[in-house]
This record gives sequence, C-alpha cells and structure tokens, in this order.
Amino acid sequence: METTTASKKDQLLGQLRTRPSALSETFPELALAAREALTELDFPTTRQENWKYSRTTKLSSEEWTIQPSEANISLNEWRIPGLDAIELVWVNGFFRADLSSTEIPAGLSIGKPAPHTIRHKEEVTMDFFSALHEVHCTDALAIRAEKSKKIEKPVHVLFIQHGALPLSQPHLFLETAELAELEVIVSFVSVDGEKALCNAVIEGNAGKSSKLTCTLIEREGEQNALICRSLYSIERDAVFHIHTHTISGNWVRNDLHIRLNGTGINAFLNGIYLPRESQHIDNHTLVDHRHPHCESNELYKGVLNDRGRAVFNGKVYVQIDAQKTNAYQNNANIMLSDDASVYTKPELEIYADDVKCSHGSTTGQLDEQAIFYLRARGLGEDNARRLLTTAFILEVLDRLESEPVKEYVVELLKKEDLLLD
Amino acid sequence: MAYEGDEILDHITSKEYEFGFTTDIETDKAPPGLNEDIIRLISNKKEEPEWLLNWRLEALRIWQGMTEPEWAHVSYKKPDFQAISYYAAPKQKKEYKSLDDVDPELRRTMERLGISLEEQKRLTGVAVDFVMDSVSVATSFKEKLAELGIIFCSMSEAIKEHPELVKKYLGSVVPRTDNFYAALNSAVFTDGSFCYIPKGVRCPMELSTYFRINEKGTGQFERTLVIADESSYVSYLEGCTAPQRDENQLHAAVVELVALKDAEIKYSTVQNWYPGDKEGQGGVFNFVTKRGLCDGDRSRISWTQVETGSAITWKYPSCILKGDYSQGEFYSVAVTNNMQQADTGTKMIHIGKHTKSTIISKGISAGKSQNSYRGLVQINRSADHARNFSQCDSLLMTDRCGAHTFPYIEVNNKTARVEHEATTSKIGEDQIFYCLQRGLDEEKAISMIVNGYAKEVLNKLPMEFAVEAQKLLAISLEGSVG
Repeated sequence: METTTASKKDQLLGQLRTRPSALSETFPELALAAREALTELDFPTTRQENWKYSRTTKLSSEEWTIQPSEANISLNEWRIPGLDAIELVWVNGFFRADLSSTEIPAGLSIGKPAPHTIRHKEEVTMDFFSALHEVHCTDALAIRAEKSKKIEKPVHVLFIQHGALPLSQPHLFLETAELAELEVIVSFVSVDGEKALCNAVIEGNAGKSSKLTCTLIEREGEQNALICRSLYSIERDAVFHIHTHTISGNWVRNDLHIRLNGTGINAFLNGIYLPRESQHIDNHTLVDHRHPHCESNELYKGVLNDRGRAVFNGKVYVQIDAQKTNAYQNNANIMLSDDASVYTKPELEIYADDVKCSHGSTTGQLDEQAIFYLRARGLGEDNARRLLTTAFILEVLDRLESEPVKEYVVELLKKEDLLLD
Repeated sequence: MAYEGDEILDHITSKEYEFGFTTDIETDKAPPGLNEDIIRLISNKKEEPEWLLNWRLEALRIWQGMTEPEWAHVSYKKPDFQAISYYAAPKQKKEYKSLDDVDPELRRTMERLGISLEEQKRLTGVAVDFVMDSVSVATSFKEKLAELGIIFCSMSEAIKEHPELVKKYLGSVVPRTDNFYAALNSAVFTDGSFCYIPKGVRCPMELSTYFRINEKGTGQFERTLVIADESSYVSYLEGCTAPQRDENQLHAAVVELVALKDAEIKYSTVQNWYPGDKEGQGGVFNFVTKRGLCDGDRSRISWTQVETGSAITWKYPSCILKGDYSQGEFYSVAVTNNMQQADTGTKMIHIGKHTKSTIISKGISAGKSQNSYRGLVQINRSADHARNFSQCDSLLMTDRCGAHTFPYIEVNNKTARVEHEATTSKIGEDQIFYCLQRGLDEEKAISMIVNGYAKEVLNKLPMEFAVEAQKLLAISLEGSVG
C-alpha cells in the first residue's frame, strides 16, 4: 500500500518537474521549504487527523497534467445576472487577460504579487497539497484595494477548468489596505464533463479598519475534484465576511484558516454544502483568536441526499491573551437519505478565561409533524419537504449582503432541484 | 475565620494533599520490568489456570507490537515500562471472616479514609471490597449477597471459583487489541473486582470498591468485570485516594460492564488520586479503559464520574448500544487545578434500533491546568431512530488555564437525531459578588457556584458519594480564583 501511493506521488512530481512555479521567483525561500517538505509529505491518508474522513485515493489515482489553454470560452453562463463586476478569468489555473475586464477602477490594483506580500508561511509546509501548490503554482495574481478606497464594483474571479485531467493550481492574493473596502466573488466552474483537479490557494489580508468580503461559489463538474485553501489574516477593527457555497463537484475540500491579528475584529463565516449522489464535501475551518475583544460567528449548514458524505471540522482557538472573545459556531445537518453520512467535529480550544464561546451541532431529518402540517394545507409531500429544506438553507444565504449574489446562488440551487421555486 | 485576598490564596494553595499518607505493611514485590517471566510469575503467584496464563502472554505479545498513543491533548514524560514492578501483594494472605482479624495498621488506614468497615456495615448498607494495592484483603456483606446469588468478589477469587463466567466475559468488551494500555493491563493485571448479578435480581445495596495505590513504584493494574444478567439491576461505586509521593505512578485499569436483556448497571466513580504538587511534580497517571456493552434489548448502562485527582487523566467510559431500545448515559464532572491535565469524555456507539444516549460533561479548569472533553457519537447504519444529546460545558477559573472540546459526531442513518452543544465561560464575577455581599466568604461562594454548576451530574451519584463528591469539589478548587 505504502509503496503504491509513494510512487503515485513520485509519478505526479515527475510529470510536473519541468514546470517552474509562478511563486518561486517572488518567494524563493518558501519554494525551497515547500520543496523540502514535499520529499517527506505524501498524499494524505485517513490515518491523519486532518484527513480522517476524506480519502484522497480519487486524487492520487489519476495522471494529472498542467495544461495551459488558449481556448476561447464563452463567459455568459458563468456571469452573475444583475452584477456589474470586474471579471478576472482563469483557465486551467492560468490568468487570461484576454478574457478579463480591462477597466480597473481607481484605488484597485491588480497585478503580480510583490516580495513583501504577506504570506502564511507556516501553512505552506504543513500539508501535501499546499506544498505541491507552492512548488508548482500555475499562476498568481494580487488584488489590492488601496488605503481608504471603497471599491464599489465587486471583483469576480472565475476559475475555469477545461479539457481532460488538467491540474490547476491558481493562487490569489486579496488585500485591503487601511480603511479600504473590497468584495470578491470567486467561482469555480468547469466547461466540460471531463475530470479535473483544482488545487487553489487564496491568501487574504484585511488591513486596519478595512472590510473584506469573499464569496466562494463552487460549481465544479460532476467528476471534478477541488481543494480550496483559504488563509486569511485580519488586522484590528476590520470586518471580514466569508461565504462558502459548495453547489456541485464530486470531491471537494475547503480549508479555511482565519487569524485574528488585532483587537475589535468581526469575522463571519457562513457555509452551505449539499452533497448528493456520491459527492464528498469536506469543510475544515479554523478561527484563531489571538487578541482581545474579537468576535467570530460561524454558521455552516448541510443537506445530504443519496450517498452524499459531508465532513465538517470547525475549530475555534482562543489564545491565552484573547480575553473578552466572543466566538460562536453552529453546524446543522439534515439527512434526506439512508445512505448519506455526516461526520462533524466542532472543536473548541480555549486558553483564556474571560470569554464567551459556544458551539452547537445537530444532525437529524425533517420534522414529520411540520411535513404533515404543510400537507394538510395542500402541499404535495415533495414540495413540503423542499419548502422545509429551503427555509433551512435560506438562513445561511440571508447573510449574504449582496442581493444579486444571493439571488444567483438561490437560482443555482433551484436549478439543481434543491430549493423550492 | 476571615481571610482576605492573597491570604486565602496562600492558605489554600499551600494546602498539602489531605489524604497523603502511606501505610507500612510488608509487601511481596516482583522485580521491576516486563517480560514473559514476569507474567509467568504473576500468574504462578496467583495460582491461575493455564488458559489465563496463555491469555496474558498473548496480550503481552500484542502490547509489544503497539506504540503509545499520542493523540490526547496532554503532555507528560512517558513512563518507563521496564522500571515498574508489576506485582505487589500484602504478605499476610489470611482470609478474614471478621474485622478483628484484619491488620490493625490497615484498619487505621481505612478509618483515616473515612470508610470504617463497621460503620459501613451497620449504617449504610454498603458492601466494601477494599483493595489494598492489588490483592483484596477484606470483603464484607458477602454472605448477605450470596443469599441472592450475587457474586461479588475479587478477580482472583472469581478466576478460581467461577472460571466459566470469567472465561466467557473477560476481554469481551475491551479486547486485548483495543489499545496500548488495555493490552498492558490484560498482560499484567493483578486483581480487581468481579460482580455477577443473576437473572431478575435487584441488588439491594450499592456495591463499592475503594482502590488505593500503596506500594512505591508498583503501578496498579486493576481489572473489573461487572455482569448483569437478564432483568437485573446493580449500582456499583468506585472511589480512590492515594498517598502522596514524588515519582509518577502509572495506573492503567480496565473496567468491563456487560448488561444483558432488560438489565441495568449504574457505575459511579469518585476519583481523587494524588494530582502532583503545585509545580506538577509527581502525581498519578490515570490511563483507564472503561467500556460497557448494552448487549440485550432494553438494557441500560450509566456512567457517572467525578474526577478531581491525577496528574494526567486519560479516560473515556463508553457504551456500545447493541440491543434495541438500549440506553447509555455519561455524566461527568472533571476538575483540574494547578498543573493537572485531563483528557476525558465518552464514546457512544449506536448499533441497535431506537437506542438512546445522553452525555453531560462539566469541566472545571483552574490554576494552569488543561481540561479537554473528547467524545465520539457514532450512529451506525443499522441504528434506526437513534437519539443522542450531548452537552459539554466548561468553566474557567483563572486566565492561565485551558478548556477544550473535541467532539466527533458520525451519523450514518437519516432517522437519527443528534445534538451537541458546548459552552465555555468564566466563573461569574457578579455571582461571586452577590454571595460576598450576603456574607459568604469567597471560598464558600465559589464552592456554592461550582456545586450548582455541577449539580446535574452530582444528582446522579448515590447519596453517600454525592456528599463526598461535593466536599472534594470544594477542596479541589479552594483559592483557585485568580
């Protein structure tokens, strides 16, 4: 067993060897550290605590290659109706300026990352996929809102997978300088039904008193795998929102690490996941409270159908000096099928005493009495169930500030027959 | 007595461990180290049958192939398993019929522990199987129990007199391959308690065993087996105090409970082993495997524990809910002070239909201690309409302690309803203020608040234990608010 996975890793690395990383020139030290870590690391197994419920055999058994693409892809299908956004289009992990918006408003800069860009060093060598990403990153882009600038237009980043067996490893840097405001929407999509693996990293840094909102819309193809690693550090008095919507995709892993680097921060984490058929969706979140007077609020909800599997691991870490922390976490799951599975682990690690921390986790099915009530009022059984799941999911979607984005996600879910029309 | 501020702190934190005294009784002790010869020696000394010796040797082989687990949220210097002596028994091996025959030294120890046998016999109706180090030296109420067909004796006696029961159930709930310490215990266990309640019998009194670590460096490897046959009921108490000493002592017990159809077992523990001094020197390592099997339909197992002692606690009393409509319960109060570390919780494995489990865990951290709840709720595909409710609360007393929650929830059946909630908060300053205003001193105020906080669990303890537990909570937390 050991030898076969080891050779899978070597095979993959062998194929990628000749490709330079988009990050290694700017961050040579990290590239070196990651390369070194890769000699030790391998595809994770379920014996590792972080991967206890997520098998990576689906990922290790394919021959992925990096495939730059010149294809002309129509974007209409992926645009968010009613949203006037700055579009940044990537295909197979490469930024395509030709497909992207050219008009960039004042106060917003989009370009290659600079050596002084804030990196989350310790995260790079911790995990096989992040080390792999660092060493063989396909392309990187830095988006920055300048000091005191409120960027009215949201930025819509489109990561498109295309062709057979591409490995995309895009890297996005998001930054709001002091008092700036920025909203970024990141869509993961694929244009044809072929298998693809996207191993993306988003690194964000919200400056003092700034506001950063990031909305992930994951619509990968039925056979696709997605690993999305989001690493954020938030400075004092900033407001940070992150929404993670996993709508489709065969195998999805979201890692979300948020470091609260100052006092008076508000962080909101919302997520929905709706695994069905044989989908596997894994959400790992970590909120690291390092300073006093911060608040974090997390709400993740899942609806499971068919043989869908969901993993939720939410960790709240309150360091020794982070007094007066308010941390709240809630994870709720509804199971609609006998073959579905939920693995949830809401963790608290608290080293300060003057804190209010709570978490809750529930798993159950729809309330039969509520269904009866609705049926007695003339709804068919199917619609009654859907109405209840709709209400369940909308609690999370209602937290989206942008109306067009919310409507768009609702439409997508309706199309997937998950929400009531 | 009026103390103020720092004075209280000084007074209390300098308090020496109350039950720290050693008894001088000559003991028969094996040389330190662990190998086949030691196992043979133990087995031989205890005049055990061949099958048990082989069972132990197999366990030793399993243990040698295992490595010490490291996943728990604790840090400590690993014990040197070759430096431990695996057998110590009081030399006088007489059988006692009346209390007058008991060594006066031993009786004095018991009295200082507050469990004078006469008193217990006369007043409380508690049968005490007193374990001094590893061999039982006094058993009371045995005859009374025998009338009902209840077997309550030491493990070594059970091996001699009821080999068929022991052979059938030993290792059936905690197999030798289960974990590192269970394997170690299976290889070297010296004694423990055995209890069998026959069909339809309701045990009329609380059965109780007082454990005591006594001989220096001997470690203690108890093995407890409780079997409740169909429609029977038993309530079992286990309580511990240990003498003060500097070197770390390893305690790796195994407790197995089996509840057959319609049977009910209540297992209560008050644990107050020496926690080490303020700097974390010394103290007992408590690495225990406790598991109950609800084998038959409608069977019920309930674990109640009050954990105040030990330098390191690593303990997960679990229930396997196999029978339909069976129920598992776990009520726990874990207090850590100074440098203590506790990683404790439970596992509820739902297999049968309509199985139900309840978890109430109350953690209290003070000093520089670390207190973790780690639990697993697993609903298997076959467990239709399973129900679980978990609540894990943590109370923090100082700004240098930690409280952690690691709940694992695995649901594979849609008809299951699983709820988990956890909160962490500080002891309420306004509550303390309120009490102070009404003339209570700080110590009493804290004791009152903590006892109120832990009430849900303390209420589940049998009467005599509840009183002792309340005292323990108060002693463990005195002067701990910073």
